[in-house]
Amino acid sequence: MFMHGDTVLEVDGVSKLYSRSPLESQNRIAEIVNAAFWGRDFLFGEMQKREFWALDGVNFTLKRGEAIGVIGLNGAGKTTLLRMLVGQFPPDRGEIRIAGKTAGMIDLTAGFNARMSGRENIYLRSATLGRTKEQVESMYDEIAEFTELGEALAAPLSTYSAGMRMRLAFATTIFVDPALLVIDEVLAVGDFQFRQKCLERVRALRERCAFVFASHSMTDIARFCNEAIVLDKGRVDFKGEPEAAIRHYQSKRPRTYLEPAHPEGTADKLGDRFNDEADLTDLRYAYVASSGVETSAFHWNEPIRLKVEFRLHRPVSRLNIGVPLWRDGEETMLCALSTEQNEFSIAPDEDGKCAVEVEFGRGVLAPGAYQAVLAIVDGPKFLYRQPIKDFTVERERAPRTWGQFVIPHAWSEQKRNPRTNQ
Amino acid sequence: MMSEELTVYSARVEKKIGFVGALTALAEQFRIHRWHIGQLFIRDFSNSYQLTRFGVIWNYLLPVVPITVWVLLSGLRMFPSFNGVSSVVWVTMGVTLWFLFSGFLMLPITTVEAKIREGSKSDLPLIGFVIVGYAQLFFDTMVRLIATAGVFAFFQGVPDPAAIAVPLVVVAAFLFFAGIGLILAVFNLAYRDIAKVVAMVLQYGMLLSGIVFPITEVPVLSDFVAWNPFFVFVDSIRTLCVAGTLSHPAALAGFSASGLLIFLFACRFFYLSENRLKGFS
Repeated sequence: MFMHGDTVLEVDGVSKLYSRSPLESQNRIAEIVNAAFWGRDFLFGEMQKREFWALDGVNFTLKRGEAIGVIGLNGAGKTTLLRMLVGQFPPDRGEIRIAGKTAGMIDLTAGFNARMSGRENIYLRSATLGRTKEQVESMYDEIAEFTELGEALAAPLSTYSAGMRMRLAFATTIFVDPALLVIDEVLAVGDFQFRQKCLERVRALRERCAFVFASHSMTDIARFCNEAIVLDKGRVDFKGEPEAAIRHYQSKRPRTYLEPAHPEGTADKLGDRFNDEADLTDLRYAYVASSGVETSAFHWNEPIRLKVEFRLHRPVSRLNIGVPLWRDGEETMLCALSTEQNEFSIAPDEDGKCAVEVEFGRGVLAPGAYQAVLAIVDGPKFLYRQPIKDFTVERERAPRTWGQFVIPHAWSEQKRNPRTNQ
Repeated sequence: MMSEELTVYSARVEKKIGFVGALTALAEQFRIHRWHIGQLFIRDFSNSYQLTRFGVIWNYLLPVVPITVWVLLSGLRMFPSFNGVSSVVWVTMGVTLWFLFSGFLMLPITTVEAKIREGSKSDLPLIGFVIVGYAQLFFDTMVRLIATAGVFAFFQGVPDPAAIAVPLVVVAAFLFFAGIGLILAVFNLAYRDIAKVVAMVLQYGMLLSGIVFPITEVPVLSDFVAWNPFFVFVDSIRTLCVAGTLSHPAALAGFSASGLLIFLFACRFFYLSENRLKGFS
């Protein structure tokens, strides 16, 4: 029962039983209710057919200033664990001990009412979070300012866009000063500037308190946590450094969905990875120099040719091949080439084989290293999306350039007419 | 150990708590969350009339509509006067008290069933949602009471001074019906038929409790009225106001005493069950 030193959270053998059958859940409720009515101890008897441990014997401790990431596939038990940490429901086995106040950022919009104004919803949501009237009144101006919603706060929530609602929800929830902060997925919302503001606030909180963070974003886990656990079917499958946990998690993921190879680095800017082997196989690609030789290094004034071949195993209606490009070390996409953009249609042969080539870059890309992604899409459905080999544009023999690329342009000199002086 | 408060979420049930301890714990929950309860009441209150043309008038009008229906029927002499009491007064008082007492019973059942999911995402304990429901019932009753007082004054004159004891009977009725309601509310989560059975029983109960006509005048039913808590509480209040006497003092005492015990037991049962039931919906 006692917690030592700076320990804020102790999760001790925590388990949670769920059932996929509503009837079995009802039977469990009946057991609990009957035990409570007759003053008996409630003991879990035999497990029912469709019952399973959503969490099974989870243990960890957390000190002030520490942050633990919780990683796992959907259904691994992440949200169940987080909901128990904020007391939304009790464990069925084990114990959770928390020294100090807990704040949870789970279901950000829970407690909102669409018919009430933004202002009223700040009060209502704050009440749901357990704040007193005095606390809300003292922080109201700060929350309102953080939302940047201005006069819209007087309007009913039903008139808000999804982004405005999230701003209101995030601002109302984030004004806390807990010993333990529990966040499920959402670290920041809104446009770029607002997201920066959210992240700044979360970072400040993370330094003051213990922090539990569940996410599918490996970059965020690596960035915010100093330890991580990987949950698999309710059990702690791995516990350790975030990078090691991420590697462990990625090694266990299904092949159709691959995580970035460098979660903490720039690779995440390249977006989601996808490879549906049921629909697309035999993919080969190569960068080819003007000499016809495969290479990944090009002269500045040389065309860069990318050849792509693959075989489709499904009929396609609107095949589109895209190649977004990033300059190494830059977060923002430089540009994207796509067959759709050029209205270039691709027709697979009888065996479903496709072979295309794209040429780009002659005298346009500034010297440096580039990263690219190959995306093959049929209408809205991704068939393949993976980073491909990096390539470089050599500095040798290149004129001096500024910026990331040189747009086609021409200079001319306009001479003054001495007669008209114009 | 750190100086901050220690919160423990455990699979173990806090069995050591006694009846009074549980009642105190629930009262403490009310004290802590009273502002949140107030916010939810305001939300529900304003939700019920928003986007209507007449606005908040509906919140005052709708509670008295059922009374006006029965008063209209009484005015058409559908019901006889009884012991010198105008049928309009008889029905108005009966209907007002019926809605109050049946609300004491039914509200926890419907509220817990409806709010168990919302309760899992909120800091507010389930008893808080029940209190929000009771606050709305209290408001509706106050509106009906004003109408009832007007009808009484118009048709019957000044109530007997013994009517001052009416609040005591109302409190006794609250303990009795709310106690049963809280117990059934918890059982209803496991056995969802309970809410439907109670609703069905209350449909018949209104006719068997002397609400709109004097049931003591019906030969077969009159022998059993003293066993019907609805009749005993309603009739006690009516006779206190009209004649200054209690029609069934022994039955009233019995139901009041048992009501106290039931309420204490219900508070402990509700308190112990609530934490374990969070997460189920």
